[in-house]
Amino acid sequence: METAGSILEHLDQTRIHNLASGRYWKLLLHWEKPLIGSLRSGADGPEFFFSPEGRNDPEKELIADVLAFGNPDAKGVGPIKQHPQCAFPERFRYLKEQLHLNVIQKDCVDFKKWKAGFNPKSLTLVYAAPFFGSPASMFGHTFLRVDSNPRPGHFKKNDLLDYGISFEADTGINPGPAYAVKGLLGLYHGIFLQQPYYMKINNYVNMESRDLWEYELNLSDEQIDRMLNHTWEMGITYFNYYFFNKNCSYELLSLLEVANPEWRLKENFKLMTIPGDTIRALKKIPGAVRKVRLRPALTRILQEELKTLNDSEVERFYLVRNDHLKLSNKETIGTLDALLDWDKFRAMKELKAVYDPEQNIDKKLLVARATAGTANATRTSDKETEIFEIKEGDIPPEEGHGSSKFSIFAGAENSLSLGGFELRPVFQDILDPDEGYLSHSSLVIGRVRASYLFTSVNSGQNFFRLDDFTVADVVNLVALTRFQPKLSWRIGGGVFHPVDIECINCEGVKISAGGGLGFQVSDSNPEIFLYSLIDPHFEISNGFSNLYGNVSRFGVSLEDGVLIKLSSRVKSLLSFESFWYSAFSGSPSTYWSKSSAEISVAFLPIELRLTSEFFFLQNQSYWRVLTSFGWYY
Amino acid sequence: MNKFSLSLVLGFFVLMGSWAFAYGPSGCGLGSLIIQKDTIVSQTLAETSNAFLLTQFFGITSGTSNCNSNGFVLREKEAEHFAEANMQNLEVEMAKGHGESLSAFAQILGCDQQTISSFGRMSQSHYEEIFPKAESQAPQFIKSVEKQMVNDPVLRSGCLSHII
Repeated sequence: METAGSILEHLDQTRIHNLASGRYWKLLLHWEKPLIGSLRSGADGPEFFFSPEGRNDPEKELIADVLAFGNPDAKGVGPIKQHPQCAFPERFRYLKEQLHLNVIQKDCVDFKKWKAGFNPKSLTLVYAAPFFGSPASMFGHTFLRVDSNPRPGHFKKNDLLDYGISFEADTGINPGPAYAVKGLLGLYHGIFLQQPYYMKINNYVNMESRDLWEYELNLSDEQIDRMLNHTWEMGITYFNYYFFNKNCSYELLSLLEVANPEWRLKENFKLMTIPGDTIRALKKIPGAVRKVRLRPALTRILQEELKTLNDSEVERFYLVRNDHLKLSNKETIGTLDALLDWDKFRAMKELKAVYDPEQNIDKKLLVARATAGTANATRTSDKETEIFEIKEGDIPPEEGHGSSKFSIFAGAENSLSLGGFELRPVFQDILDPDEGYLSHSSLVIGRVRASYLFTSVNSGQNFFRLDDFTVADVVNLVALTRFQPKLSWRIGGGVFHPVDIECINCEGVKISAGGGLGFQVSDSNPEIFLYSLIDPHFEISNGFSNLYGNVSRFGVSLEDGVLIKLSSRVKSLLSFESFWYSAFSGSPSTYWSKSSAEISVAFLPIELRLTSEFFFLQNQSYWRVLTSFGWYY
Repeated sequence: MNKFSLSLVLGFFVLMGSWAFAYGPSGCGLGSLIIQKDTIVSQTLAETSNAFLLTQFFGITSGTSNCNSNGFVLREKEAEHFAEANMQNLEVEMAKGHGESLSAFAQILGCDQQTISSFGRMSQSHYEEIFPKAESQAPQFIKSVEKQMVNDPVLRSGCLSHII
């Protein structure tokens, strides 16, 4: 055996140099270009490197690794104090193979035991659809699942017994209000975690009621093996977690690129990594995805179940759901199944930190169902899994529009011609096509909209106007149904141009939060959705002093609208919005209103939008008509 | 030893005991799933939306804990961990006599594929013995299930043959 120093003597320096500048070594080091600065490793935990300059110099790191691997008495590294060969099994395997290293092989008990737990058959990338219940979930989420071979005595595997691998911010149990700030500024450590898939299902499908889209990847056993080796290497380090770009979806891409270095995924994501976009990037690679499946949210399963019941069963369901005491001993299996699934949905939504009997499923229902017996005795275990293959009408999220949009528009406003642009980095508005996004919803962050207005008479009077800089605007319109009577809500704020005070260059800042109701009048051909929202506003503008004697004003708006979906690519919105404002303390109140009709026609990635608005202000009223071309990217 | 020290020591043991009790006798308990309701919406509109973190994350190479080793649930804790994490699913599916969680649970308990439907039928017909009136913790629940399995010849041969 060679001593540490002599290992290097026998190695070809050119070979070392070539390996260190090669793609695979750099992938193992998570070599990337940060927003600011030159290329370096993205890993922030120091134990990831053996060389003090390892973060910035792949060649020095390679040499230091060889020395560490070749030293049988090397100090233990990482939380479980492993020999370097065992802490970095993929680096070791790769360098040993490429450099024909002749070293004492260490017995890596922990690593071998861990890897043996998988028995992998394939690897699946899972996408949890957006969820408006929490800010971090509004853009969707991705993680990996290692699909195992069936266990002995079984010819089909049960997904629940697989393990999921995800990248998450280590925020601790009670992150507190600083959570958002820390997540945006990279103040949390991101680490790789592993959880039984059943916990993922309970979390996303049952508690949050989100669809899970499963993309089985086209990877060979050897590729999956190398990826697992590299996943073990991730356990020794952390990555500063940035909510917008270096997030859950971004770091997963490293694992996929190690599995198949020909896949170039990370380079598409610098400023922003939207989970759905990572699926799009993967689907663009020919043959990367073998199969797509959908595991529907619990509410969706429930709604499908209700469709299979006859009218009297549906009536019994709603009657007993409202009052369990009305449960009779003549309920059908169908009704009981639906009641149980509903109560499970309710109980899981209400899970609290402190045990509360409210969160349990009603024993009466459970015993009634068990007593009703084995009408379903013909169901075999093959039909146990209730995952749907993709059906007609279920459009996978990556086929929806890109998450960013740039538009240019032109038209006329109050006898002035105008042209302008709008840049919306994220994410969706009510008129954009729905697929892959929550329908009847809006999630906008950092939108800029500006116009240049031409007076018809004198070009010296043309002017530029910032129409809008939306910091955030979230709208969640929900149909009020017998099944789920839920309220709609809206919240937002940013810089805006106050239309009603007739001041050309005034700008203001506003925040608003409100709610209301939505109704699905028709389900299809066309889909018609009505809504009504009340929003209190608070606004500050230099233009208010004249009118109110004060720079701020408080107001309330009422908006009624109809959203008509003629097809998956053609949508129309008709709305009427009234605004009442006052600045407190006896100042005059003002009123104005706006009615608008818009239609959007999408030929992805392009959208054509026609807008006509009528402004009814205190001292004047006028039209604004615009044609916009948008490009989703 | 004065009264103050004595009560301090006793108090300490009571605290330890109650903490251990909350986690269940085998110490693998998820306890209650730790959940926060902390969203912009819930703070402004007092709506019951859920945002939460399941703290039962298993770090890769963070070593072993009571329940997991570097990411995997310890084999001997698999049944208990699954039962705790899936109690609602199991309650419902055992009443129905079939289901994905029920099948997974049967697998963990050692049943082979053909025996799973019998396991489902058993859980339905012996429902109230498996789920007595009082809310049971996972270890007691598993014991009642195993008791039924031992009493049923089909389940004994299809699930427990590796033990017997």
